[in-house]
Amino acid sequence: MAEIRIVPLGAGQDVGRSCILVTLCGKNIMLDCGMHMGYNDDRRFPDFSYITREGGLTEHLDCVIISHFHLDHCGALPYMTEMVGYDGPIYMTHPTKAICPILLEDYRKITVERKGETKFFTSEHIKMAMKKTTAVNLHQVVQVDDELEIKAYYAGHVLGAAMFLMKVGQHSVLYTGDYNMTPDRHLGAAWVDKCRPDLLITESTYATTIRDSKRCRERDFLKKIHDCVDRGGKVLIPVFALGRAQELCILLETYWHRMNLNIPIYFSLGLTEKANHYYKLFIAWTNQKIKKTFVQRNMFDFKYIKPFERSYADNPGPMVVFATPGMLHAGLSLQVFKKWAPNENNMVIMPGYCVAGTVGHKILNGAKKLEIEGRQMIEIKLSVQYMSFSAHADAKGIMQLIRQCQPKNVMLVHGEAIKMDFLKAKIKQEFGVECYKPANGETVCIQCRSSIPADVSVSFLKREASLSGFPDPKKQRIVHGALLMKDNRLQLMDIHLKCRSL
Amino acid sequence: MDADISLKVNETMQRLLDPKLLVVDDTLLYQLQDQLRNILGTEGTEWLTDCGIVNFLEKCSMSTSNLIVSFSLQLCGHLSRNQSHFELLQQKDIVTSLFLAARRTENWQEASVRYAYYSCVCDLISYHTLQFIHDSDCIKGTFESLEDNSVFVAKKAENALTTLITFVNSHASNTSQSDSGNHLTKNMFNQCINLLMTNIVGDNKECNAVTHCLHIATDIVSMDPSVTHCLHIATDIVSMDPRIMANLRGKTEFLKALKQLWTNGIYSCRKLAIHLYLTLSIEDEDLFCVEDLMNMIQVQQNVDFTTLLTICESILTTRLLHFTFCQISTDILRIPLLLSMKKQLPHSLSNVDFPCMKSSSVCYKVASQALTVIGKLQNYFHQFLPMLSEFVKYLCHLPSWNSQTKKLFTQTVRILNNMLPHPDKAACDEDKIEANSLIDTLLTKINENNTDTMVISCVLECFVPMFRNILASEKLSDNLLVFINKRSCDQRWEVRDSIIVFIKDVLSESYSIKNYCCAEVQLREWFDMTATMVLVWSAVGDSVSYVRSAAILTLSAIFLKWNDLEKISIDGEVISLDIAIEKMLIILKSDTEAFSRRSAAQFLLNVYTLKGVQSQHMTVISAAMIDCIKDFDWEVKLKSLEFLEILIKTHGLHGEQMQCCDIMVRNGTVPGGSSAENEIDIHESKPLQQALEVASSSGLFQALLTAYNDEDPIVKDKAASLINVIKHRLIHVKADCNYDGSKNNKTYDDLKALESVDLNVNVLSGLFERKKLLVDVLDNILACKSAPSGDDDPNDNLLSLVDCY
Repeated sequence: MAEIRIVPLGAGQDVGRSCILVTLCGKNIMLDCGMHMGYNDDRRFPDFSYITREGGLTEHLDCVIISHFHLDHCGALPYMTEMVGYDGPIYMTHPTKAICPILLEDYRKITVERKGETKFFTSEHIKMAMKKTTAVNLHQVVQVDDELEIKAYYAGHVLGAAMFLMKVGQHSVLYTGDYNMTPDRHLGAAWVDKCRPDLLITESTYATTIRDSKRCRERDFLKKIHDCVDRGGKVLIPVFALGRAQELCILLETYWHRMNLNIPIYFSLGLTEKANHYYKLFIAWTNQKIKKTFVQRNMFDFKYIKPFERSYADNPGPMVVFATPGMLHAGLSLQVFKKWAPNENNMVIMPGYCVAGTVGHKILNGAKKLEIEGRQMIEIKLSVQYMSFSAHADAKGIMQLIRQCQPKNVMLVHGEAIKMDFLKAKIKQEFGVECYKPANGETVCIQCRSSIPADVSVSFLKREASLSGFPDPKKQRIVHGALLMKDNRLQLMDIHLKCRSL
Repeated sequence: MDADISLKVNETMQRLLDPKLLVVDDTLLYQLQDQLRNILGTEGTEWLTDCGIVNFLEKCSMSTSNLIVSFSLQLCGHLSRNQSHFELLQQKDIVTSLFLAARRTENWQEASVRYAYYSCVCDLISYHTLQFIHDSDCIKGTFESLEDNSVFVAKKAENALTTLITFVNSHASNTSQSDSGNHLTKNMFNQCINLLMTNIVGDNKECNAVTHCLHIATDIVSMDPSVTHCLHIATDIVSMDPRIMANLRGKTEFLKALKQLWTNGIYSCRKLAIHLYLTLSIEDEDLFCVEDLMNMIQVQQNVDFTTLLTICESILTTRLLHFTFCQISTDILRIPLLLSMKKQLPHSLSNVDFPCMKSSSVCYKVASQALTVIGKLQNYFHQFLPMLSEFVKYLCHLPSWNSQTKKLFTQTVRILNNMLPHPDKAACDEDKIEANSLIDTLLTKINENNTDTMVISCVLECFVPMFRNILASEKLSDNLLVFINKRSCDQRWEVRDSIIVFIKDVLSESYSIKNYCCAEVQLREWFDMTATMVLVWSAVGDSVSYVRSAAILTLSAIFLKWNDLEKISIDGEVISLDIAIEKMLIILKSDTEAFSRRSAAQFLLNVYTLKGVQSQHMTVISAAMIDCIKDFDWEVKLKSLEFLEILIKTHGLHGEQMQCCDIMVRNGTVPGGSSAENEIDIHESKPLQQALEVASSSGLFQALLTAYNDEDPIVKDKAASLINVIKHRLIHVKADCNYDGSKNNKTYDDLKALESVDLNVNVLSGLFERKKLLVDVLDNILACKSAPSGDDDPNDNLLSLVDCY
C-alpha cells in the first residue's frame, strides 16, 4: 500500500508561513516556502532543520512548489536557496516569477530598516533565487523525474496564483494554495478537472460562508469614500502596486462612472505603468471580460484614475489617492499620510495586512499620536478604516472544489482550527471522505489503495452480469476470473475458458 | 522600570486572563515573551509582583485557554533561569501548578502546550533547578513524547532528555559537590536511566551515564530499528560536551558499549559507533574491519545507502584509517554514480547486487547524496575527478533531461569547479587534457538549443576559474565565442544575465590570480576580438532590470580593469568614458527600476574614485550623485551618501572622527562641545574655510540635510552620522572663520542649518529602544478585541492576517 505523509511546518491550523512537506510514494515535495510577518527573527522562516536530520535539503527534497506571490507563500525562498543552500528544482507560474521579486524586495526594505537586523537576504539573493526557479504554464505537465510529475491549474486569488497536482504513478495530491471559486472584477474563478486525487490539500481561510458580506464590504467601502469626499475630505488608500489595488481601482472607476463623479482619483506615478505592464504581459491570467475587451480597451487604462504627483497632496479640495507602499512604512503613502493625518475630515483606508512596527500597524491599533522617525510628532485625527478585500474561497467554494475534483481524502490548512472543525464535519457528512486538519509539526499518514488496471472482454462481463439476474449498472459487484499477464498487460478472463485453452 | 510601563504590563497581564479576549495573532504573545525577557534581565524580583506577572502566573493554572497555558509555561521557564525568580514562583507553588495544568487532558492534547511544557523543562534543567525536576517527576512521559505526532514536540522532548542526561552526567562526575548534591544527581541519574530502562529490557549498570545511554540506545534500536531517536540523543549528548568525550576515552565499559553498537549490525548504530570511534580517536584497530563493512553491503541486499554514505564520509573525513578501509569507502561512494551510468562496479563490489537501485530515479537520488559527500572530501578530489568528469559527459549525452538529471548535472559541475586544477597552480598535462576535454563537453552542451538556464549559469560559473584554459585553446575559445554570440540575445533573461555576470566574473577573477598577468594580453585581445564590449554595452539597455544592472557593473569592471581604456570601439562607433558616464546619468535619472539605478550610482562612484579621471567627469558625476539623494529608492540614497562621505573626506572636513562617528551616534555619545585637545590649528582654518565654501556651493550640505529629513531611518541615520562629523569639525573652525554672513551667505546659511540639527533627538539608548518595543507589544495586546457578539462578521478577526498586501 502506498503512503502519503504530510507535515505542515507552517499553515497548519494557522495563517502565515505556509510550508507543507508532502511525501508522496517516496517523493519529498515542499509546498510553498512562506514567511511569517509577525516575527522579527529567524522564527519568521520555516524551521528547515525539521525536514531532514542528516544531509542537505537539496538531496532530500525532490522539488519545491510555490503557489503564488504573497509573502506568506514565497517569502522564505531566497533564505532557503541562498542562505540554507537548497539547490534543487523550484516551480512557480510565469506571473508569480515576475512579481515575486518586487514583493521580496519591498519586504527586505522593511526588515533591514529595523535596528539589529543583520541576517537577512539581499537583493542579489532575491535575483539568484529567481534565476533558480522554473516557470510553468497552466495545464503543462512537468516531469520532475521519471516518476514525479506536476501540473498547474488556475486558482484566481491573485495574478498568477495556481493550484498544483502532483502525481507519482497512480497516486496524486492536489494542493490549492490560496484560491477563489468566484470570479472578481479582474481575475477569473479557480478551476480544476476531475483529477480524483488521493488527497486534496485545501486552504480554509474562510471556512464559513461570507460571500454576501464581501459585497456588503464593497458597498461599505464605496459609501465611506463617497461620504468622505462629499464633505470635502481626502481619502488615502495605501496599497501594494499589484494585486488588490487593481481590483479596487476597477471598483472605484465603475462607481465614479455610474455616479458621474468628478472628484479626482490618483494612483502613484510610475506604478500604474508597472502594473499595466504586468497585466498586459499576463492578460491570459485575467478574467474573461478583461481578456475580451482588451483589444478594444485596456481595462487598466482608467478614465477617472490619473497619475499622482507629490505636489498634488497639497491641493485643496477632496481627492482619492492610491499610494504605495501598503503598510505606510515609507515612500509616498507615508508622505501623504503625514500631510493629511491632522485633518479629521480626511480618511485612510487600509486594505491589507500591516507588519508590526509599521505606521500602518500602529494606526490600525488605534494610535492617536505618532512619533515618526523619532522626531516628528503627528496627531492622528483622520478616520482610520480597515477593509480587507483578499479573495479566498468561502465554504461554498471549498465544497464546490471538492465536488469538482472528487478527492479520496481532504486536508484543511491555512485557516483557524475552530472554523476547520465546522468545515471538516460538513465535508465528512456530504462527501463521506476522511478530512484532516493537522497543526504545525503534526504528521499525518494516509494509506492509499493501489488499483491495477486490467483488460476485460465485454462478453465476459455480460456473462458475469447475467449470473446475478437483472444487472444494475450503478451497483458494484465482484467478478470472478483468472488474471493473466501477457506482454506487460493484465487480462481478466473466464477461468473455464482459459483452462480449456491451456 | 518606569512606573507607567509597570502599570501597562500589569494591565496587559490582567487582560490576558480575560477568557473573552481574542488574541488572533499568537505571535503577539511570542513578542511579549521576547520583550519581557529583555527587560527581566535588568529587573529585580519585586518587579515580578509589582507588574502583576506573579499574579498572572498564579491564575494561569486555572485558565482554559491553551494559548495562555503555553505562554505562561514558557514565561515560567524563562523566569526559572534566575534562582531568586524561581524561588519566588515556588513560594506560591506556581511551577508545580502550571505543570499539573499542562498535564490536564484537555490541555495536553494541544501540541503547543506539550511543546511549551518541554521548553520549560529544558529551562529548569539547564538552570540548576534539579531538585525540582526530581521532586516534580516532570520528566515522566518524556520518553513517550519522543514518538509524539508533532515533530516540534518530539524534538523538544528529545532536547529535554538530552539536556537532563548531560546535566546529570556532568554533575555526577563533579567530585567537589556536596554529599546532598551528589545524592540528588545520583538519584536523578537513576531516575533518568530507570525511565529509559522501563522502555527496554536490560540491567542498570553502575557506570558512566553516557555509556549507559549508548547501551540503552543500542538495545532499543536492536529491538526496534525504527526508534532511531535514541541514537540521536546519544550523538547529541556526546557531541555536546567535550568533557564527556574526554572522560570516555579509555573507559572499558564505554569501549564495550561501542563494540556492542557496532556488532548489532544495524546501520544507524554502526554510524554512531564510527562517529564516536573516529571523534574520540580510540586506538583499537581491531574494533572494525573491512570485512564487516563488506558484509554489511553484501548480506543485506536492501542497503540503506544514505547511512552507508554517511559512514563513508565519517571514515574519509576524520582521519586515514587502514588503506583498504578508505579504498572501500571511496568505492562505495562511486557505486551510485556507476549504477546511474549503468556501468560495472569496482572489482571489490562486483558480486554485490543492489535491487533497491533498479529504478533510475532512486539511483539518481542516491547519486545526488553521494555527490554531496564527495563534495566535502577535498583530500580525495584527485581520486574522484575522472569519474565525475565521466559522469558529466554521460549526463550531457542523455537524450532528454528532467529536473533530477539537471540537479545532478549542476551538482557535479559545481564539485568539478572546485576540483579542477586552478590556473595559478601547476597542473600536470594529464589534468589539463582532462579539464579541456570537460570544458569542450560542457561548451557543446550549453550550445545546444533550449539548454536549461540553470545549467548554463552553472557551466559559466565553472568556466570562470578555467578561463585561462579556454583562452589557451583556439577551439575552446571559438566555441565559447559562438555560445556568447548565439545566447546574448536569448529570450530568457536568466541566460542573458548569466553571460554578463560571467564576463564580469572573468574580469574580477583576473585580479585575484597572481599568474593571470601573463594572460592579460590574451584576455584583452579576446575582449577586443569578441563582441564582448558590444554585448555589454547593448545589455545596458536590456528590457530586464536585473540584466541592465549586471551590464552596468560589468561595464564598470571593464573601465576599472583597463583604466587606460579610454575608448571602446563598437561597430565603428566609439564608446568613450564620456559616453558611458552620460548613459549612466540618464539611467540614474530616468530608469524606472531601482535595481539599475543602484548600479548606475555604483558605476559613477567607481569612476569618480578612478585615478586620473578628468575634472569635467568629476564635476558631472558629483552633481548627479548629490542630486540622487532625492531618489525614490533607499539604496540609491545610500550610494549618494557614500559619495557625500567621499566628498567630506576630499574637502578635508572629516578629521579623525570619521571612523567613529557611526558608533558615536548609535551609542548616543555625540560630542557636545569643543575640547582643548581638539582645537584646530590656526593655520588650518583658512583652507578649511575655503573647503566649506566649495562644499556648500557643490550642494553637499543641502544634500545632507535632505537625507537627514528623509523618511527612511537608514538614510536618516547615515546622514546624521555625516552631519555629526561636520559639526564636530565646525566647532573648531567657527571662532577663526567668523562666519557673519558677509562673505558667503549660502555657506553661512548651510552651516547654520547643519548646526541647528539636534542629533541627540535622534539617538535612542538600547534600554529606551527596548522599552519602546515592549510598550508597542503591550499596546497591541491591549488593543485586541473580546470575543465577537452574534452580529459581528465571524471572519473579521482573521481578515487582518490573511492578505499580505
